[in-house]
Amino acid sequence: MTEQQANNPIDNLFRETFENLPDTPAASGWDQPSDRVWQNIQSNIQPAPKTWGMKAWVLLAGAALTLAAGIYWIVATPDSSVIPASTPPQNEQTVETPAAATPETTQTTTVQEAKPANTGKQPAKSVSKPGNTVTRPGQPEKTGAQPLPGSKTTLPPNSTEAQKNNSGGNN
Amino acid sequence: MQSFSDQELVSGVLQGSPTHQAALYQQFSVPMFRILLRYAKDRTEAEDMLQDGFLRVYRDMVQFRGDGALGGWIRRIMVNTALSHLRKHRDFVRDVPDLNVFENQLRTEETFSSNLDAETLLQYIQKLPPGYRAVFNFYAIDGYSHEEIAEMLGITIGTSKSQLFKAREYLKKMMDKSFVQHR
Repeated sequence: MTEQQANNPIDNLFRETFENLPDTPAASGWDQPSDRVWQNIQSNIQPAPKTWGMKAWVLLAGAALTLAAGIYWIVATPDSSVIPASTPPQNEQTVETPAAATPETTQTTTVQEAKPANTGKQPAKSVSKPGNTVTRPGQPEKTGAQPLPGSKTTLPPNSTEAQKNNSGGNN
Repeated sequence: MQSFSDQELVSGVLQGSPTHQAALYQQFSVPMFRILLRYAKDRTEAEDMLQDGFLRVYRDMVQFRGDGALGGWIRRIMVNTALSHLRKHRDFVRDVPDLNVFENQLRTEETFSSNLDAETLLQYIQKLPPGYRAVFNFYAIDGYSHEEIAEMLGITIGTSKSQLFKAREYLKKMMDKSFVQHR
């Protein structure tokens, strides 16, 4: 409070009047707030009701159930990362034995040309049965792997057929 | 209602004791309401300010260091709450550029003798325009300087002074009409 502030009569009148009010509220009640104020304050500062605890437990239980179901689903589902026992068509070489080839009893033998590197798993041999050869629509048929009847088939030297042929020729 | 010391009130409120919360309100609601009535335009606005102010008190009680009186700390919170309410009304203080005109017209030799009670004086203050009322309260009753008022209200020092002058003139007119003697 500066000297100038203390000198003004109107300022003094108001300041002294409001500073010298008794501690007790006035009889007319002008300086007493209504009960609504305390009720509003109370409702804002009250701790969380107990029903919220129930809600929290229900939510927690629901979350736990969802988590358990998710874990079960992950464990029960077959591992999709395991490669199914099928070989890509470009790695296959179809060898037909033309001598015994009749329209009814065509034998088609699929020989694995090369093992896939670093798979760690033994690729399954697939033998396609007659009449079960699947040709994808729009994909050109690989005629190079199917020799003409009577023509000599070039086989890899370490293949079973080649060894058979070699051993047959020797005998 | 049981009476508690400041320290007991603070620790009780911090522990969430409803008894201490109620005791704190019981002890300080009337003096704080008297202050807020001066800053508000009516009783309803003052009650809104009081409610907001006490909620701040309970929320920020942890910040009370105990190096001063609890009542003084609560009073500062209430005045700041009133200030926040005032700031919601844009342009509540209108800038008046010509300061010297008002400075020279101050008549400090006048004295007022009045038997007006606080309730009547409060009615005069509440009739002031918001800007006059705020500056008059801050400067004349609560003892803030014009520099502080200018900073708090975001106005110039000149505007604060002109608002104070106009507030005084306004109050004098109202008191004249009420048959107040002034020499």
